[in-house]
Amino acid sequence: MLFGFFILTVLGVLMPRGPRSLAMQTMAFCIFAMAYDLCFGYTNQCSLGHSVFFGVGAYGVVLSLLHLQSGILLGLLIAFVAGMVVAFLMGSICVRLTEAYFVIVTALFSAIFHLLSLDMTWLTGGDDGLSVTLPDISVGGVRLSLYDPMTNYYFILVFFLASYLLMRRITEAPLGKVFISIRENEKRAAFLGYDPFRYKLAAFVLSGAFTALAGSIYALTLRYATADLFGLYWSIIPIVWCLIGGVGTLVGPCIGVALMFFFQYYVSAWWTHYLILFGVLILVILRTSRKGLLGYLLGR
Amino acid sequence: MAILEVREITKNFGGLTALKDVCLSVQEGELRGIIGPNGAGKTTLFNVISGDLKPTGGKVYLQGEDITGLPPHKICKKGLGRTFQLTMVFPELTVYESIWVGINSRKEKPWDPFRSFEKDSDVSERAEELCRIVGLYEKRDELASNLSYGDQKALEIAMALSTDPAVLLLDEPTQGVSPKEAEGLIELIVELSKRMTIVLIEHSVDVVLRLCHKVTVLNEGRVIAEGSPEEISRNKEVQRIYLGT
Repeated sequence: MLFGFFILTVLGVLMPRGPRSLAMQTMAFCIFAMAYDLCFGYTNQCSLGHSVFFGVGAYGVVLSLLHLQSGILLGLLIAFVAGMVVAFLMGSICVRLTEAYFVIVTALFSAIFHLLSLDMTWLTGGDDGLSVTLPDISVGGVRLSLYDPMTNYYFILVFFLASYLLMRRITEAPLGKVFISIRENEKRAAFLGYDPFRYKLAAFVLSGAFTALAGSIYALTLRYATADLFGLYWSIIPIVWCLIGGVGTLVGPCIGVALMFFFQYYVSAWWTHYLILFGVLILVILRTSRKGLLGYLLGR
Repeated sequence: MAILEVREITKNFGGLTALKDVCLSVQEGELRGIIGPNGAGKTTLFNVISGDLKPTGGKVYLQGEDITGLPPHKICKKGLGRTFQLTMVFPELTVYESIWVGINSRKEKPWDPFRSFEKDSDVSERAEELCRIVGLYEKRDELASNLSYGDQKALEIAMALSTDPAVLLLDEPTQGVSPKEAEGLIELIVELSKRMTIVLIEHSVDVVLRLCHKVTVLNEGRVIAEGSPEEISRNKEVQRIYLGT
């Protein structure tokens, strides 16, 4: 994986404009995919409510820039914390529920947030969204502008790398092992002295916070946020990424994102109904290996 | 004072009475056997003691403290460990990791993200020691799901021991295991009973009468006899249940 980051660093200089902006979006989505994996892959909570955190993150940074003139770094921090708080409140209700009930109630939250954001145009701009001008970032006396594509690329790469390292740290630390033990057998974990609710909530909150970070970075690359970011699409797509790439591996979901982008931008060029192909591919992958592409490769 | 005290526990499932006024008093260091025909309520009693089920009535005391109705994770922290009749391991964790997770729960901050999985020496030493005690040291890096049933039973015991319990509840540790593996498990239980209090549910009456200091007989949710193995084997009521005479 670190080798992958090295390649991304070198590619930043070499890539032409088009693929580079594509790579930027891919990286933002990779953060999303890894964050979702923390919840889905590590504690087996199949949330359909992650669009809430994605949207909260996007609006978190955009509104901070518009109304608080907060600057980009503080804006990202606000988005991250907002995601954490919303995930905590939502999780306090949802995480108590099991299986299908959890899925349904998280989906309801996603629908509620989507409708509210469409309705409250004074705050969110509704369907049209809110555009934002990005101020310069000054780090240690150096001023950086995200309007420079190269700067923007490395800015996102840094956050991608930092998110990956943090989540890797969490999943490899004792906490990650506890998450997995709860995923594997919740009851047994309880009899070993762990409160399943508390640990599942922790995973949900961490996942929500990193999802918000992904949303805020995505909004910065688009330079705007719209109510669509709360839509059901953004709740389902991370499941697809995780299933293709391999749940519970962090790296796998990133492979899922890359594959999806490949289809979306290259395969679609010669066949517009590329999603059919993609759907078939998902079925084939899951038929061959329940743990996605990476699970298949690691299992050999 | 008894280390584990069960007072007049009653458990109803709807109209069905699974346990009726069950009393049990286990002294420190004792190896207590619980026997009884199928459906006598043995496992239900364990489920009530360990917090898996809330009793309809009655109290459970562990080391003098009232633990009735507490959730399993709290009861575990108070010093109770248990195994399950049908093995409940973590299929995708290795032997070593499964035991590690249990030891970790006793740490002050079991969630600390800055502690490394590998480098915590007191945890890893204890985990390796437990692997040795139950005879799984050579298989410590195997996934739990790849173990034989007998080895899974041994892992169950190791996981129950990992939280360092004062009282250990073993629910049919030799059920469904080959005779050779069963012999190993029984030796392990005898060895453990020198160091801790154990309550053992066993289907095989011979094993219980051979190992245990004291035996409790359950039938249809009631305690029908209690005493030394000799007393129990002479007891007319027990003979009637087991021999149907």
